[in-house]
Amino acid sequence: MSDSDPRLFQRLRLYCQVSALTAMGIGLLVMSGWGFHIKSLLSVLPGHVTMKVNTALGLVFAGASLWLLLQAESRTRRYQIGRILALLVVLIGAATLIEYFFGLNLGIDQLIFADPLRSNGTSSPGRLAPTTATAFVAIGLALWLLNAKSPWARWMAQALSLWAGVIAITAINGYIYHAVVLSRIWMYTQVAVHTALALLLLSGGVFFARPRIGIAGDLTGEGSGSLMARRLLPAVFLVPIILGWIALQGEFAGMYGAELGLALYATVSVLVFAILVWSNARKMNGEYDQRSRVEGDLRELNAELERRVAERTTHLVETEGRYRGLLEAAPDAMVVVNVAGEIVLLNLQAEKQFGYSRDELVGQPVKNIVPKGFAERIIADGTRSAAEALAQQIGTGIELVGRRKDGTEFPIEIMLSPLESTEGILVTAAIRDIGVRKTAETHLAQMEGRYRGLLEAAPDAMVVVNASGVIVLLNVRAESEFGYSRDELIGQKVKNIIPEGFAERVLADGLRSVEQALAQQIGTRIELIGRRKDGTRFPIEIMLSPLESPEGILVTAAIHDISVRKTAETHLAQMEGRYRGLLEAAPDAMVVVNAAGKIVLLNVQAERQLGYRRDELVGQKMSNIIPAGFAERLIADALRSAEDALHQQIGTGIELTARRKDGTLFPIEIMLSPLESSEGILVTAAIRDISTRKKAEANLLKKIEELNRSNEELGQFAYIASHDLQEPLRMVASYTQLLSRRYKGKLDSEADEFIDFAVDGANRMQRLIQDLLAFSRVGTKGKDLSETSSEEALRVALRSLRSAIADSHAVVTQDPMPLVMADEVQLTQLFQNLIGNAIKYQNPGTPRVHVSAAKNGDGKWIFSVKDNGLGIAPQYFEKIFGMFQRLHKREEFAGTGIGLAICKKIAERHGTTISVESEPGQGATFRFALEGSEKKSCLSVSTPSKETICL
Amino acid sequence: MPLEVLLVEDSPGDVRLTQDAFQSANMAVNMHVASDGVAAMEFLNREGPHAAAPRPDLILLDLNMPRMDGREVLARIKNDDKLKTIPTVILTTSEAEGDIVKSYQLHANSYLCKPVQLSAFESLVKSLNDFWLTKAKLPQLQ
Repeated sequence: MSDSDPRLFQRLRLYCQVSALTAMGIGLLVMSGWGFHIKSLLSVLPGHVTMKVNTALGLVFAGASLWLLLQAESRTRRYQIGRILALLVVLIGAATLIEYFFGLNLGIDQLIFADPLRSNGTSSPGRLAPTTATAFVAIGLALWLLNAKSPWARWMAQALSLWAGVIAITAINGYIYHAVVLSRIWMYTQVAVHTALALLLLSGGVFFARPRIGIAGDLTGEGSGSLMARRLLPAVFLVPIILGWIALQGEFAGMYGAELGLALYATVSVLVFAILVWSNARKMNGEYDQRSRVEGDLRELNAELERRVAERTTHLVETEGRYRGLLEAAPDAMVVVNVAGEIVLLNLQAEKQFGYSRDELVGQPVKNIVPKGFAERIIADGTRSAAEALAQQIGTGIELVGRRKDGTEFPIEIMLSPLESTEGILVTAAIRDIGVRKTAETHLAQMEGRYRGLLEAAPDAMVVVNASGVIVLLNVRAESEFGYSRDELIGQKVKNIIPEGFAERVLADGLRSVEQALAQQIGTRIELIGRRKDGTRFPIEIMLSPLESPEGILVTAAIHDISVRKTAETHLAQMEGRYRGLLEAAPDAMVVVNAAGKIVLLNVQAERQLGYRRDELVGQKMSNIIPAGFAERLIADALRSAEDALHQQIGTGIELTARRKDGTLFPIEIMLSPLESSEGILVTAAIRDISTRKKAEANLLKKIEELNRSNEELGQFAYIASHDLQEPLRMVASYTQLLSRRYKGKLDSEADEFIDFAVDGANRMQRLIQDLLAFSRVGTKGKDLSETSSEEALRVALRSLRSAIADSHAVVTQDPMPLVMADEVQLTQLFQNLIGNAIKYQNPGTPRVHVSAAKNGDGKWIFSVKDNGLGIAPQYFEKIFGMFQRLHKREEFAGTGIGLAICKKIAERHGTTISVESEPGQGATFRFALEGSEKKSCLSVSTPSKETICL
Repeated sequence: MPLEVLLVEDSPGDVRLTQDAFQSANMAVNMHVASDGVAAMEFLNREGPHAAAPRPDLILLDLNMPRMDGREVLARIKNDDKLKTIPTVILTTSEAEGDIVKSYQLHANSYLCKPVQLSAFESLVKSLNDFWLTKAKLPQLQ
């Protein structure tokens, strides 16, 4: 049906154009006929009424107007001209009608051409028939209203053109039916044939000028009514006219009368029309059936469709529900915006984030919550459509700023996704508050800055490597260590600076992932070789640690140049070798023990001493060979650490007992010294077998004991001598003296001599015993040396010798005497003996004795007792100090000879010796040395008051 | 009234010497002799044969004697309330410092060493007599 439409309209348009042109043509022909007096043109059928000039003019105008108005849209020049022409047509018709109605002559009838002929059917010469004039008015008006805006006007135009058409048809029918009267009825002038035809054409043209609207629209429409009209209308026009003409012809032929003719005409037209209608009805029913079927199918389809739609709708509702649920449940704020930038939907989170309630936002422009950046991105602008705009934004996270209801702004990230809906494309925006993330980012940037700072400041070279073994970062120390500049290394493979060992450890290989590889290496110190830019190699130690980054796992390597350490290690190994050598060569047994008390090292001497083999001892506890005393000293306990423990023991020789393999124990002395090693603090113990020493010590102790015992015995002996011996001695001495007293002179002279000898012997024996006692007492009764005033000792000695000095008229002089370390009693005795001897063994003359003391180089005081006595021959220098040794007979000088022996013993007890310097007849000088006292040396000055002056 | 002196001495020779010396020094002295400590104690305690023994005015005591030596006698005398007031003089050959100290610790009234020389001995006894029996006032006790 739609197919026919363009063709129909095309045809109609053509017809309109043709009718316009035809009208114009006829008009022009007639005008030329009038101008050139061509009668045939004026009235086609001879004898019939002519087309008047004005009519022709009107036709021309009308045709032209129609032509123009058909083509032109409103407001163009053509349009304006067309309308003016329409007006002229109206004018022609209206003027003529006025003439008829008011019986006026406006002078228009013969305005252009005169009408000389007195045409048939013309009431006034040159005047149009009133019907024609009416028709012109109608057509002119119709043309005027043709493009009017209001539908009423357009409808009016069509109605007017129909009226003109009716007039034309009436005129034509008149001609067909020879109804002269018909033509005459209308006000005296008949319509010319060609006028009628032209008018008919024209009215049809004007009617169908706007075929789609109004009455014409009813005929040209798609509906079944229009279709029926189009089918039937031609019949409606033609059948009555033709049947009428047939009936009239029959009538004119006399076959039947007017009444019958009419009756026949009526019957036949009824028949014809009924048949037409019926056939049309059939057709249309058929069409209707077809249509019904189609409609039925359509309805089914529709029902199907509706079902599907219902499904889809439920599905959609579900989905929508779900979607809504999702939307509501979404952690992020979700806002759905239409292409105009208005919010159509939002979720709870969005309400919360922005501080609005739902209804405050729905319908609002999204600019309210995202001031800039959102709307612009998705709204279509002159350069791209909404879909394109949207397509550009889909998926990317866009950072913008959101604004809450209270006006505060906060950083957001939006992600857009399109949503097709019946309202067109909608944009779902997931809005995430990235305030925290922004802070984190700033923080991260800070940390990154700090990390960078740390990296740069690190004392070790730091290199960061990615999973492909390419250096991504390094610090200034790495630059200097390897001799490269930063940009020379970044992007390079780490193999360039660490040829072997690094990449392999860290890179993923077929056997393990990067993470596993890395996990195995973390924390361990790995020794490798680094290569500088100049190609030199140097030993390094690296420590790896992982670093997660957006680029994946990175490995940070701290690289430490260990050349120094390596040298130290080699040196240490050397030293160790030497040490080992020393250890082996040591004369003592050396055992090295660790902090746990286990033996880690020993030398060959240790093997020998302890009777073990090396491997039997290494790893064993020290307590196996030194049961007690060692471990306790060294092992850390709760009170002190191993170091402290060790420290306390260092250097001291400790006596312990060791146990050999065979179980025998032997005394040892150990000396400990610490030894730092990579295993911690070790203790080196030098072990010396001190059995012999111990024996010697024991011997010594025994000897000392014996000595003490003999001393004691000696003391006892002295006591015995002093008491038990003296007793019988007294008896002998006393009774012989009694004898001597009582019987002297009473017995013979020999008896007296015998008695004298006896007495003398007893006396001598007593003196001997006394001297012996005195000698022994030097040792037994000796006191410890203490600070002694030698001045005082001398004084006491001199007092004891007072009578001897007086009797011998000796002169004793002295020098100032120092403080010395001595036994005072014995020092006194010493002085007494020496000075006594000096006085006794005198030359004739005045004995002079001088006692002096002088300090020698060693800080000792050398005492001298010098006399001017007999002197001593050198060969006797030794003898005189012997016990009971004398150089003179008893008759010459008294004395037992013990004096100097006692002096010698005293001197020895003071740690010194006594010496003599003498020549016969030149006197003698006896010397001995004593330790000075540590205090200030106070010299006693020999003044009457015996003052002591301290310096 | 003659003075009673108890001489505790084990050596008869010394006894004779001492007696003779005392006789030269002071005639009016009754010398009693005990030859050891036991006899001395019996005398002082008036035991046995010494029931009628007089109380001595002075005791001369030797140190080294058999059975009971002078130290013990000294101790007993000076611990006995009845006897401790009797002046007791140690008369011995021992010059041992230890003996001297011990004797004084046991409250000996004085300590004298017997000289070897006879004349010295006689002089000593005379001094003894002069001091103890002439000049010193002795406690009168019944």
